[in-house]
Amino acid sequence: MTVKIVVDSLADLPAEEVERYGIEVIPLTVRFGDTEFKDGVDLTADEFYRRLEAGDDYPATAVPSIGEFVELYERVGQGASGIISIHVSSKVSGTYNAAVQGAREANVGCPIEAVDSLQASMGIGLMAMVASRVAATGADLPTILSQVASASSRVKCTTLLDTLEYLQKGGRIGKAQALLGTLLSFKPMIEVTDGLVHPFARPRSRKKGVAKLIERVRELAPVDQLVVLHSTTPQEANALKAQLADLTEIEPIVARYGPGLGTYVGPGALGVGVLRSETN
Amino acid sequence: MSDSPIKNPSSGHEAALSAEAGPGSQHTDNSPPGIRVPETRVNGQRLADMVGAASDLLESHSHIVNALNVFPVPDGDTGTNMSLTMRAVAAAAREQASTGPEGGVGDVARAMARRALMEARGNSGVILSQFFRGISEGFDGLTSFGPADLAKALTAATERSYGGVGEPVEGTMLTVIAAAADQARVSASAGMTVPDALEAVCERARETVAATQAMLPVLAEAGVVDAGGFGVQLILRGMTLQLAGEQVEGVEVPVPGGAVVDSNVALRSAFLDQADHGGFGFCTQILVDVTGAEVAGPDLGDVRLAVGRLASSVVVVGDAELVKIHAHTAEPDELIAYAESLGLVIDSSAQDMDEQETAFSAGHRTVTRTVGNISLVAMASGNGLIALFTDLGTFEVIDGGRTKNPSVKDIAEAIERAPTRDVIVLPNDNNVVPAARQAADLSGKNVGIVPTVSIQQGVAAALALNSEADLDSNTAAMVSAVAAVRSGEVTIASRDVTLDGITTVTGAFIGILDGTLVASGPGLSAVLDGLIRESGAGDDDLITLFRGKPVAEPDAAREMARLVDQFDGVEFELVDGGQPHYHYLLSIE
Repeated sequence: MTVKIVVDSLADLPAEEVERYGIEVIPLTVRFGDTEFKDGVDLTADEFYRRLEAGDDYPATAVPSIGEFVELYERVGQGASGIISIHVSSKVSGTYNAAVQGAREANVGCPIEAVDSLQASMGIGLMAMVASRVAATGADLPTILSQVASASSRVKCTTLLDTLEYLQKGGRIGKAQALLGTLLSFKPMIEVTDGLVHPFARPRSRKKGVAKLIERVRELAPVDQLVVLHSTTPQEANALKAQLADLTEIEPIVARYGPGLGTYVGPGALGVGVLRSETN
Repeated sequence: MSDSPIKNPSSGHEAALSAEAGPGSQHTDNSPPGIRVPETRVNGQRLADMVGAASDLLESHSHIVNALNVFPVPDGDTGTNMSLTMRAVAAAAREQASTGPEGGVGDVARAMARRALMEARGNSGVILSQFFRGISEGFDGLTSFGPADLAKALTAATERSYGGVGEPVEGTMLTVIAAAADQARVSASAGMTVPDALEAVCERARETVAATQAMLPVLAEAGVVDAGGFGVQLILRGMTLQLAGEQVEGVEVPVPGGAVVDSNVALRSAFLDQADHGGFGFCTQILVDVTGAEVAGPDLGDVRLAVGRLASSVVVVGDAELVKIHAHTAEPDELIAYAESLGLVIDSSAQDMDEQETAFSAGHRTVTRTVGNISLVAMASGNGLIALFTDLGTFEVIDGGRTKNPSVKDIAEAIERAPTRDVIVLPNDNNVVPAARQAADLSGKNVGIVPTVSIQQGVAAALALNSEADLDSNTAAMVSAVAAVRSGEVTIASRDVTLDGITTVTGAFIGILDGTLVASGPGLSAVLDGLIRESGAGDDDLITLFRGKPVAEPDAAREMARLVDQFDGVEFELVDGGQPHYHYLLSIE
């Protein structure tokens, strides 16, 4: 009997990692006009960005229902000694709240702990991977939770955007509003800090932005785990990964901003996520 | 038709209501003593019809609810989420009601709650699913419901809804649900029939929705009422209309509280488009003492209308003595002038809401803007450059430059005016750096000087501003940004001179790179070319051209097109600088 780990689809965990760690993913709804999809289930990232760039409708996301959480917990709870359900920052989404309600309602024989990651994307994913690794050792719920808490303070995600348009239209621009500018062209860079989107930098070109991402990772080093993320530029992500490879012993993961997250970062987003080592 | 009271709730539809009355009924327990009216009760089929009507009414207004949606996140989908949730709830009610013996209100409500739990969409849907869960608890075991049951169900719905969110916030759909429950209790104790009680509940919901604007600052700022709250009002109104035997098709329920939403132009997109174009303008607040005015106590409706002609997001409150006006406008002076016509303006403020101010502010300095931990003070001359620094988040731009150096006092005063303890000064000229240092010494604040010696360096530094970060990390980031930029300038020689091995004559164009004369000649284009060649700009480099006052816009555009051809691989951007004396400033990075 082990503790099972659940995340929402905004964690952007690659399928291989989901499989390797046996993590359960609850999808958000992604809506284009009147058409609804389950993030990553009946809508792939390729199809999502194709629709996004076709540009008829701005997409929107909707949190999973309490009932969907109940159903998932009741299924996952069978044969588990506990469930840890890690979700996107409650400051930008109601997903964590729905998870808390679902945990309360679910008829499961083991305890369920919902965690507000105060993160988005692989910030959540990195926390879930830590949780899974600790769970695999047979650790109990409190031990895993304390490791998740430690990971949460060591996770940092930085993103270079092509445009702020999607973050703004999606209502999640937060403090990155300060990056809106019209007189001089630059590429907006953002970070998730304390659960909200914050401005990070305004490089004049994408090339300089990529350099800033590298500089940021070097600043945050040493790191236990490194992730490179992209929405529509896999080659650029691989090149960035190669440039960062010397910073970590574990091979960096390349992940993709999925439909849910892509609703806010849009095409052309490139990012890094790190789990800093405990020593720093 | 409008959201008006139903004319005669007891006529024309008795057949659909069952009259169950009398002693022994468990439902009369809550009736106040002494009042004995035959209780009109609603059965399961009727409940399903009512919820169906509620769903239809909500759906026909969902674009308006979407447009109102600014809280908790302005993503404009509250109407869609609530409609989808209600559509599922209505379908469940219809299916359950048609099952015959199992079609009592208790069973119908339970079916609705179950379906809502699974099909709820978004935050508002999650709250709605809890709402229906409470309703089903209140109706548990009943075949039909009366006024007291309605009160009980809405009370349970309130408890469930509040319990359904981690940190309940007032001024939202929760507040509207609570008010509806309160009214249902009042109506039940007053011995009202279900139709009358529901009508009163609707009216109370409408009033409460109007009041949400004053409860949540974000709603007041956007000039809207709560979207979810209005959605709840629509649900209640749809149920009430159906019970009164009226159609909901074609019914238009106005948004309470005067928040005007053009159904063709969604407010949200207007709201965001404004943000796109830096059109928020000034958040203007004016307090007027109207006691001494010729007409004491002006009609607030008239004031609202008049202000509405001048500004957006209008909120006007007041009484016979004081009137407070809140509005967003690009021209606060106009609004203040109007306010002066009402009485004595005792307080007024105009705060610039644009994080991305555009070509505004040709004046001596810009106005206060919202800032984080740190404020930036910069020197610049020329409307374009002043606007650019403002655009990049500079708190105050002091009009000054090479030929018009600002005084220590000018800089010191700007530092004091800054709203934060930490201030960074960008002198943007060699001759201003000492004055900036002196001003910093005079100040009791924490002042960092990034010794920028050109506008181009200043722009690079301002781009590195992170108002969330502290003084030291900002200063460090700016210094390193400045180091990555080379500054070029093209102007006219004011005397005959040989400098750095280049000879020039009065009236010739000269090109200067980081303080060194590198090109001279009679033609502007040739000097520009020489300067750029000298800078060694190549592939992937970016050159920003700031067009000065001496150059006309079409000439600059032509020059730019020529440069793009001439220097393959270099990226060019042309910005309207408006600086005096210098034809072009070039930032090479």
